[in-house]
Amino acid sequence: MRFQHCLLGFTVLSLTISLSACTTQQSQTSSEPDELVVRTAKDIGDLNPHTMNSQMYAQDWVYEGLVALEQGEIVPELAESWDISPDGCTYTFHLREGVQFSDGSLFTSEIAKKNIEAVQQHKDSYSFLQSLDVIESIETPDHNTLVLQLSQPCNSLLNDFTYSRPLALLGESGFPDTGTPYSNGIKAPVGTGMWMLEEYVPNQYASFESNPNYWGQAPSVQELKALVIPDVNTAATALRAGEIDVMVDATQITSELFQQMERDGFGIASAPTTSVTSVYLNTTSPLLQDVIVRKALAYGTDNTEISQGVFGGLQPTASAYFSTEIPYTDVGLPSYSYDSEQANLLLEEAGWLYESGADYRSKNGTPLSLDLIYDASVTNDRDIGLVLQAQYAKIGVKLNLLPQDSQVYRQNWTNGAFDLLIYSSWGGSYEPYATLAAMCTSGDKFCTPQLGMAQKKELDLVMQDCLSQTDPTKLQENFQYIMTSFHDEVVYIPLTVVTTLAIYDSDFSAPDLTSAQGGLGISHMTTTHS
Amino acid sequence: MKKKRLLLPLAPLLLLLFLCLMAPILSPYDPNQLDTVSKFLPPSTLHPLGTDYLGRDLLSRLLWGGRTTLGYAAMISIFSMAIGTFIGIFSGWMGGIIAKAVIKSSDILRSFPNIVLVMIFMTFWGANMLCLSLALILTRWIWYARVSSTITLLQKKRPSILASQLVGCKTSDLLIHHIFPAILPQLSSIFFMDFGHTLLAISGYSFLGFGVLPPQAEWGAMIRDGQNYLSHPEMMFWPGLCILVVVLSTNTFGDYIRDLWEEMHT
Repeated sequence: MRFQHCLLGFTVLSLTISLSACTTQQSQTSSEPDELVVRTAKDIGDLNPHTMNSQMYAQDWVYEGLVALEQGEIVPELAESWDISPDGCTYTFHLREGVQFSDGSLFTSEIAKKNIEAVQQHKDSYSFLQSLDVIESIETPDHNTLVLQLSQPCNSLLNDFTYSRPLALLGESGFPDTGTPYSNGIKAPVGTGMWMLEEYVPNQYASFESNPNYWGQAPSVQELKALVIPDVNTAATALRAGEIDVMVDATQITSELFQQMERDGFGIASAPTTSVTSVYLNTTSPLLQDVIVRKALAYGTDNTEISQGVFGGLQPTASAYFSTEIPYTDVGLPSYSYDSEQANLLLEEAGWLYESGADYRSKNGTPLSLDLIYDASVTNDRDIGLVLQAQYAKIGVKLNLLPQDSQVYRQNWTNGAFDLLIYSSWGGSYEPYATLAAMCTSGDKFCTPQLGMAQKKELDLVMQDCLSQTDPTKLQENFQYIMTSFHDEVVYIPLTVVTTLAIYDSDFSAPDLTSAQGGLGISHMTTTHS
Repeated sequence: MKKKRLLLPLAPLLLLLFLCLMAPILSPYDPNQLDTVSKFLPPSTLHPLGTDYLGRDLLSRLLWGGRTTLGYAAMISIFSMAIGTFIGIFSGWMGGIIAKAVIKSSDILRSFPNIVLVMIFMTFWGANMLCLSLALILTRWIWYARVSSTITLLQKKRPSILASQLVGCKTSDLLIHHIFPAILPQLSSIFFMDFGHTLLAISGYSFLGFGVLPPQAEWGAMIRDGQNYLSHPEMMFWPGLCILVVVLSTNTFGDYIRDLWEEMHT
C-alpha cells in the first residue's frame, strides 16, 4: 500500500514537472525583431570603465578608447590618427571631430585628458599598464588634439589604449562629484560606444539601447539585452526555446554541444584568438626546482590528445606561451613534442625511480606527487587536468587535481601555493607588453612561477627593456632571450590556442568574432525574422 | 507476507550493494582509465553501458562510484547514529538541565542550514569528502539524539527500571540491556531513512563540486559530468537511477521497520 502511495506520488510529481515545463515553453517568446538577446555567463557589472569589475564585452558596448585592435593591427577609434616623435617620447593624437557621448556632450581632448589623469592616480592597481608610469604630462593644444609627453619610450602605449579598461573614456557627466571613478564609482555609464545602458537588474539582465549619437555604423538592431545565464547548457536550452538569440563563449561551450547545436540547425561560428592555454610550472616548488623534472613533464604532455580529446579539434595545439600571431615572440624554437620514453629517461636521470610495486616514482622516500590547481568554474580546465593526470601517470608522476574557487585560485597562484596550474593567457592587445609588464612586477601572480629561474633577475631587466626599446633589432634580440629562457627552463607547457565559439539563432546573420568593435562581435548581427 | 514486504524494498538495495562491493572483480576496466578516442561509445559487449565524454567505461565508474557513495553514506550515518545515540541516552538518563541543554542545542543546530555549515567547513579546510562528511555528521546526529533522549526519559521512569535501580543494578547494565534495546527499533527506522537522505546530500554536494575530487567516481559527480552533455543522457541516467533505487529502498524499508515497531507496541 505504502509502495503504491510512493508510486502515485512519483507519477503526480512527474506530471507536475512535465506540465510546468510545457507552461514555461508556451510562455516563452522570441525576442522582438529589433532586439538581440545575448547570453552572459556573469552579471555585466557596474560598467565603470576605470575598474576591472565589469564584463569586458559590456564595457566595449558602452565605451571606446583612443585606438582599437582589429585582427592584430592597431586601428583608429576615437583618435583618427596619431604621430609619434622620432625619440618615441611624444604621442600626438588627432581626435575624431564631432563625436558625442551618449548624453549628447561633445568628446574633446579635455575629457580624454581627465580620464587618463584619473586612471593615472591609481596606477599602482594596474601593474600591467607600463604607459601609466611613463606619461609625464598631457597637453590639449585644442579640442581635437591630445599630446602625451613620456619620460621614456613606451612600446605598449598604443596597446594600452586599445584595452576595454581602464583607459576607456567616460563622459563628463559620468564622473563622480568628488574623487575618481576608480575610488568613488561612476554616476552613470556615459560613453561614446555603440550602445547605452537602458535598464539594469543585477544578476538578471541588462538592456541596452542603440546610442543615437554613435559616430560609426549603427548596430543592426535597436535593442540589445544581456541575459545572465551562468550554466552553458541552460543557455543552450534557452537558445532552443527562443529566450536568447546568441551565445558567445571561449571556455564553457564543449565541442559536443557546439556540434550538436549545429546538427540541430543553429548557426555556429568560431575564430581562434591569440590567447594560449598553458600549464604554468612553479619553479620554486620543491619538486619542480629541478629543470630536468620540468622537461620530463613537457615531454610527457601530449597536447594533441588535449586538442582532440577535450576540444574535439576546435582548439588547435599551441607551440609556445605566446600565440604565433603576437609580434616578435615567434622565435623559431622547437617545441617539446610528446615523447614518454624521453620523459621516463629524464626522470630516471634526475633520480626519480619506481620502488618495487609502486605506481609512481619516488626519490629518497619522497613520492613524485604534484598538485595541479585550476579554476573550478572553467569546465574545460578540469577536463584538461584529467587528461594530464592520465598522461603523467604513464611516466610515473602522480597529479592531484585541486579545483578551486576563482578567488582562492588566484590567491594561491600569487602566493606560489601550487606545483602546476592551468591558465589561458590574456591574448589580444594585452600581449606581449602588458603580460611582460606583469611578469617583471614583483608580487604579481604572473611573476610567481618564474621566481625559481636561475636567470630571473636578468630576465626581468630584459623584459623591462622590451617595454621601452624602440630599436626593432634589439627588441627582437630581447624576445629571443625571453622566449628561449621560457623554453629552456620549461616554465610553461603550451597546450592549445583558445578559440571563441558562437552559437546563434539561424534567423540571424553570423557574428563577426574577429571584430574589435561592439564587444563579442554581435552588434552587427542582422535578423530576417519578422 | 511480512517477509515478502520486507524483501521487496531490500532486494534492489542488496543487489546494488553486492554489485558495488564486487566492483574490483565485476568492473571491466579501471574506472579512471581515459581513452579519448573512444568517447561516447554506445553500449556494447566491451562497454555494457557505453563510455563517457573522456572514453571512461560507464559501468566501471558506476560500480566504483557506488562504493564511494554508499560507503560514505553508510559511514556518515553510522557515525551520526553512534554520536547521537550516545549523547541522547546520556542526556536522557541524566535528565534535568542536561537533557534540556541537549534538546535546545540540537534545535539550534537543526535551524542552521546544512549548506551553510558545509560552505564554512569547505572555506577553512577545502572542498573534499572529509570536510563534507564532518559537516554532515555535525548536523545529522541530532535526530538520533532527540529520539534517544526522549525514549530514555520515558524508559527510566518505568517501574522495572526503577526496581532494577533499587536492587543495585549497575547503570551501564541498565543502559545497555534495557534502555538501548528499547531505542533500537526507532533508531533503525531513522537510520535507514537517514541513510537515503545522507546519500542524496553526498550526491548533491558532489554534483555542486563540493565532494569527491576528480577523477574519483561518485554518483553525484557522475551526474555533474553528464550535465554538460545533455545529448548523451545515459551519463546521468544510470547514476540517477541508482540513487533513486537506493533512496526509495531505504525510505520504504525504514517506513516498514517503523510500522512493524508500532504494530508490536499496539
